[in-house]
Parts: sequence; C-alpha cells; structure tokens
Amino acid sequence: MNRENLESYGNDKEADSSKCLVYMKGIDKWFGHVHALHNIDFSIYENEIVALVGDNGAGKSTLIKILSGVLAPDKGEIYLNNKLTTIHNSREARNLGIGTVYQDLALVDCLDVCANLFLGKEPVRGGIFINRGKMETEAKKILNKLKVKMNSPKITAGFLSGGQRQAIAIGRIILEDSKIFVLDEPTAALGVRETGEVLSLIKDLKATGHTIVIISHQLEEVFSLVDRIFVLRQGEKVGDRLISKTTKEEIIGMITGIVKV
Amino acid sequence: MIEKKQTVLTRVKNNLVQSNEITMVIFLIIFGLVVYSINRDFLTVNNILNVLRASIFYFILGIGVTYVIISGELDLSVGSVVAFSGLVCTLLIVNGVPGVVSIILAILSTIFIGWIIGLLVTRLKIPSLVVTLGMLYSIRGIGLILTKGNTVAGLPDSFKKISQVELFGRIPIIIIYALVLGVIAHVILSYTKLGYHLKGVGGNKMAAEAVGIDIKRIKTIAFMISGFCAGLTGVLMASRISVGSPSAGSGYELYAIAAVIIGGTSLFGGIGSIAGTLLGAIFLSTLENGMLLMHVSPYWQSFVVGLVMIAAVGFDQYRRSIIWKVKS
Repeated sequence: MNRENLESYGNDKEADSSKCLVYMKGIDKWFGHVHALHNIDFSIYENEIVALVGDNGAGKSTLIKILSGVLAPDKGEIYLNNKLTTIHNSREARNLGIGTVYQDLALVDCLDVCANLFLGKEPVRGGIFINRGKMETEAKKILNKLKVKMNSPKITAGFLSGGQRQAIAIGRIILEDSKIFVLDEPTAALGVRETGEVLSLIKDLKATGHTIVIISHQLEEVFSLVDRIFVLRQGEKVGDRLISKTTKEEIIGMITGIVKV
Repeated sequence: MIEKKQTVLTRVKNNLVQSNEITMVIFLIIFGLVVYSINRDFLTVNNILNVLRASIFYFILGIGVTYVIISGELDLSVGSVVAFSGLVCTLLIVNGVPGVVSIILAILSTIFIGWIIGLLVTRLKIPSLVVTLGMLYSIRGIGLILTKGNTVAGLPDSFKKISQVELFGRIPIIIIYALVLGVIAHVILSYTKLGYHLKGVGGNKMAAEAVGIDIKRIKTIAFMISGFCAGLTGVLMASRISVGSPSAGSGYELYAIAAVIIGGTSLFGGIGSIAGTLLGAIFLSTLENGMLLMHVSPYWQSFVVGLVMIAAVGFDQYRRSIIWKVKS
C-alpha cells in the first residue's frame, strides 16, 4: 500500500515539475555505535512547506544539522539545484542559502533587536563603523513585514516574548536572503496565540515564494500548515506523503511503527 | 493606557540593563558630599587632581580588562604584565636603545603576551582564569629573573617627562593619554563591528558561532588589547616613578577588575562600557581618597572596597535575572 503511495507521490511531483532545490541522497550517520540515520533520501522542492516528523531520537535534528552544515554525513551526497555540493560548516550552508533557526533561537539576550537581526552581518560605513541608522530602518521594515508588534527595534532581546523572539530569529534569516528556511520546532515554546502568529508568519513566507522545512511534534499544526510530510522512525525513512494523500492516523502509525512500509 | 505604562517600564528596565552609570554618578555625588562635610579639603582642585591621577592607571588597565570580560573571559595577568612592560622598556633604555623604540618594543611584547593568552584559551581550551593566573605568577617571575630582584635605575629625564609633564601647568598629561585612549576604546566598543561581535560572543557564544563570527579571533583580540593596555600602563608607571621595578603593579589586577565590575560591566560577558569603567576607577580612588581624608583606617578601606565589589556583582546578577525572566 505504501509503496504505491510513494510512487504516485513521485509521479505527482514530476507532473508538478516543481524545481528540486535540495536532494539528500543515501545519507548515513553514525554516533559511535548508534546508527542515527540509515540511507535517507530526502528532497526539498521549491516553494513548498515540508514537515519532518518523528518521535524523539528519530533522526530529524541530525538530518537537519547535516543540511545546515553542523554535521557531516558519514555516507551519502547532497545535491543543491542538481549540483553535487559538500557543506563543510554552518557558514557555508548560510552562504548557500540555507537559513536555519534552531530551537534555542540563537539570540543574544543582552543585545537589542537590531544587533540580533544583523548579528555577524552588520551594515557598515567606511568599512569599520556600524551604520546604526540603516540597521534601524531595515529592522523596522522587517518587523513590519513579519507583522510583529514591537515598540522599537532598540529593545533588549531578553525582554521580548516568545513569539517576538521567534520572529526575530526568522527575521535574521530573511535578511540573509535565505532560499530555504529550516525551522526546528518553531512553536514548541509558545502559547496558543503566539503559535497562531508564527504559523501565519510561515504561511506568509510561503506566499512570498520562500521554501520552508519544519521539524515539529505538533501534528495538528503540521496538518494545518504543510504541503508534504516526511516521516522518520529510528533513523529510517518510513513515509513521504503529500498532505492531501494521507491522514493523521496514518502518520501517527508511521511515527510509532504500527504501520510498516 | 496599559500599553503605555508597559513601554515606560520596559524602557527603564532597558536602561538599567545597558548601563548603570547614572546610579554610579549619584552614588559618587552622595559620597562626595558626605566626605566634603567632614573635610573641606576634599573638593580642592589639588585633591580632585590627586583623585584623578590615582584613578588613571586603574582606568587604563581597566579598559583592557573591560574588553576581556565583555568577551566572556577574565584577565588576572595585567598587574604582572605592567611590571614586565616597565622592565622591558627601562632595561632597553639603560642598554642604549632609543627611548621611543624601547617603549614600542615593550608594548609589542605585552601585546604578544596577550596573543599567547588568547592562543592558550581559545585553542588549548584552558580556562582564562587558569591561564592568566599562571601568567600572573610566571611573568612576574620573569621580571625578577631578569633584574635579580633589583630595580632598573639611571633613566634619562626625557623618559620621566612622558608621564610627568603638566599641560598649562596644571593638568597632568597622563589624564590626556587616558582620555584619548578612553575615547578610542569607547568608539571601538560601541560603534564598530568588533565591539558588536565582542558583545555577541560574550552574550551568547553559541549564537555568535551560529552566525559565523570567529570566536577565537574575537577573544584573542580582546586579550591582545588587554596586553596593550597593561603594556602602556607599565611604561607610564615606570616613567612616573623613574625606575623599572619588578614589583610594580602588584595587586593592580584586582583593582582593575574591581573598577570594571563596579562600573557596570557584567562578569558573565556581553554587557559593559568604557564610561562605566572610568566611573568605576574614579569611584575606587574617590573611595580611597575620601576615607583617607575622613581619617578612616586603611584596613576599613579594604573592607569597604570588597563590600562594594560584592554589591556590584550582586546587582549584576539581579540585572541579568531581569533580562532572562521576562518571557511571557
């Protein structure tokens, strides 16, 4: 049953002729004796929102870290825009257009919003001096675009609410002109209202042509948001479905292992 | 209406976090008034200049230490490096090397020490507390070895003039040196990429790494700046006392750190300012001077300075807890 689904899914995608931005082929990763990823084939298509789901220890974070340059695969290849690429570190990944927001958001709490948005890529005047005016103008633009309610971009980041912090983290990768946004559990730490705000932000990102990969535990959200679900279980790929061609029950079954491929 | 109140509260908290210079100035004024009421000599021009003169060396040392602490590390070596620099400079001079060259070589040698410290901390991953503590002992040891415990005397008058000239007959030139250095250090810290990255590295190392900032480079630069400041202080001190002394700067590292902490720089990195360090240095020497004028025993002075430092770190903890508490 599932094989059929996968094949028809593949056919759908071909008919769609959506550009394949990323093709991770045959990825294997070991941590000592632990076989974290077994021969994983994972693709990301242009302008889709794809969810990586699976229980704890399934390998979602590991796969994402390989894509974002933090880890190197032990076996397998990565193709970006059909070109074989090696990603040596996180800086290279960012330069290649892969922008990742980790769960801890990587914000510097004692610095203000502007400094956080432009961290590492601050606009300068004359080569050395920070162009504060430009920083604040651009920051306000981004905050408006993200529809974030904030009184001033000079607020210390540590004082922001969870939803605002998430928006700043996403704002940073927008500013870096990332082609692919990778979001690790974007709503995990958020309350109901803020979760809604972040989800609507992600929808806006898709509407403006971006491609998004989300790791999430929250199947409700996933189903309300994404185009495709990729299921991992104990390091193995157990499912790759278009949302329209699957149900929550089937996905849960794949995550927990009741449904076998 | 509620939103407006929250804005004000946030702004106050914001200011509290970024700097506590206002608190310091208020404290200084109150303390000053107390001392003045007991001893009118406190506010004579002469005495004020004395206070400023005493604070200069702590301030210059403090500038380097500020950079290191903001980057998330510690530098306990500065007192010993002061002596080392003075000795290198004076030994070269009495052996015929031209004054300017001697000074430059002395300062280059201390920048080099800073580079070594940076290397040991960032590449060998030895905690800076340990590295700089080791340097505190070994560098002072090198000074003693070089001089066999004796001072280096016989320095030309021109060398003394570097620190002892007074502009317009009144203003000690070292105050000018300190101000110029302070302004440059402040501009770098607040208005350049280096300054922003320093605070990023100290505030959240992981975040800085994630955005591609070279942590090793930033921390090493901070140690080199600290080496420079200690080197400059060593040369100026040697000029001031007209000898190269292997025991110069003894204990200065603690005063420098005290000035930095009292001035509002956070011990845990990411927050700090040069203006704060200046106030901290002035505060310390005002405290010393004030207690002297009030005929308070020197033992009490140590006690009070210690208390003030603990209070400063306590306040720092409170301030950081505000930052990380608000996450509705």
